[in-house]
Amino acid sequence: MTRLGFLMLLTFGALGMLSERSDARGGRGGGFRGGGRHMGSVRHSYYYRPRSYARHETTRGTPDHSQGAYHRAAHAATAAKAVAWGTRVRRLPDGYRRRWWRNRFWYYGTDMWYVEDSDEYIATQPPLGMIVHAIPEGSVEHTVDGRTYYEYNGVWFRPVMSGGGSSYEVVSRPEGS
Amino acid sequence: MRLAAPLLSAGMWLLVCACNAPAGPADDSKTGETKPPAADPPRIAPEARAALLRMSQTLQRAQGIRFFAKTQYDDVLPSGLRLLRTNTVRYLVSRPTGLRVEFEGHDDSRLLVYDGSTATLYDRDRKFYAVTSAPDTLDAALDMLAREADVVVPLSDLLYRDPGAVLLEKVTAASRVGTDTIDGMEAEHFVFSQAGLDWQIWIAKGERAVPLRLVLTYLTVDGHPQFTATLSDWNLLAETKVTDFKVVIPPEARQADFAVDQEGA
Repeated sequence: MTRLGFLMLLTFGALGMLSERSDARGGRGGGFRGGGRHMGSVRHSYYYRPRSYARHETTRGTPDHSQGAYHRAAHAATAAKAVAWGTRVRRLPDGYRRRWWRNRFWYYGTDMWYVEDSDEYIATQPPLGMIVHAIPEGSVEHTVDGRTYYEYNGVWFRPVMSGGGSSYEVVSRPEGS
Repeated sequence: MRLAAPLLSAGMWLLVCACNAPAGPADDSKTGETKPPAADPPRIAPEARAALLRMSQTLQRAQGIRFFAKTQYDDVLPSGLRLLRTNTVRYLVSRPTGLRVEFEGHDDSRLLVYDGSTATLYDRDRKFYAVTSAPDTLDAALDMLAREADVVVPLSDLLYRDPGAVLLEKVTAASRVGTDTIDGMEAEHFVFSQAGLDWQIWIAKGERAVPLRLVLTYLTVDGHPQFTATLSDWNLLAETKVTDFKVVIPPEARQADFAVDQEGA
């Protein structure tokens, strides 16, 4: 074997091992944050943490493009008709986001949250305590006891600082509202 | 062959690692007992450790530090589509009790200030802010912010009193890649591995060993997203004022609480 061949064997051998090591770790992060907020620190890299999941949705998931344009999930430029809780859809809105919460995935797109049920998605009220990066455009602002809240379709949110920036926590309807 | 040598070096330690790795629990034939395999010793090239030490010494000598970072990261959507996001971040440090970090990003503009007793995060776009009491040293404050306020400051490793020690604390392997030029400055390039994370750093050659680039690759997140920061405008003799570490909150801004996202990613 030539010296070059030996070098290539070692190099590709090393790359192959790297690849195998990486693939074995698998998993994918999810969330509505738009990513990035917990990135950039070696000591605190744990906080940018993934959740393992099955990759089933990639076979029937929705594309992120529509007519050649990428749609931002949280604030689609075009207002959509309000979807009623309990509505079942077979296809999530373009550019949907997803996050892991209490042992299941929650999907968010065009001002609505969904959970998966068989081959469909059900429009579902987000659970109390869940922190989301964005709230629907049509949310109404309220001030209760000097604190700011937002309400959308019966769901109440309070602004919080989480993940190093503004977010919203799903809360119960505040007393006095 | 300049490039082949580092690759060979990386290949060698991976090969050695694989050959030395025990296939299973060690069997002690004399006693019949099964012993757990011994942990592999860390494989950290001395020159990589030395480079981080030089960088640490450079930063430790400075009392006031100002620098600028252009950062970018992969935002991997559930479908697998990868978006590239970019931000700029301006840092001002006054050891040991002052920090000012100004973020300008694709979706918000934020300011984080620590003054030795409190930390304030202000979202300039949405006009929300949160304040929390904080420990009296920057090192402890950075840890507290991550743990209790869910605030991970990008490049926070470089803000600690001993950045080299912080960066090395979980490293299992490291090697030198070679030399590079970043913004016209010669730099040495190193790669480090630890559980769940590979990271690379480019450190300026010479006595002023400041970091010029840092790249983190998250191995446990699907799509292996990367965070890249290119650092510039280093001022290790920065003058600071008390007012640099105070935030003027406009009257229309509203206060929010810090909240830790227990299950977020």
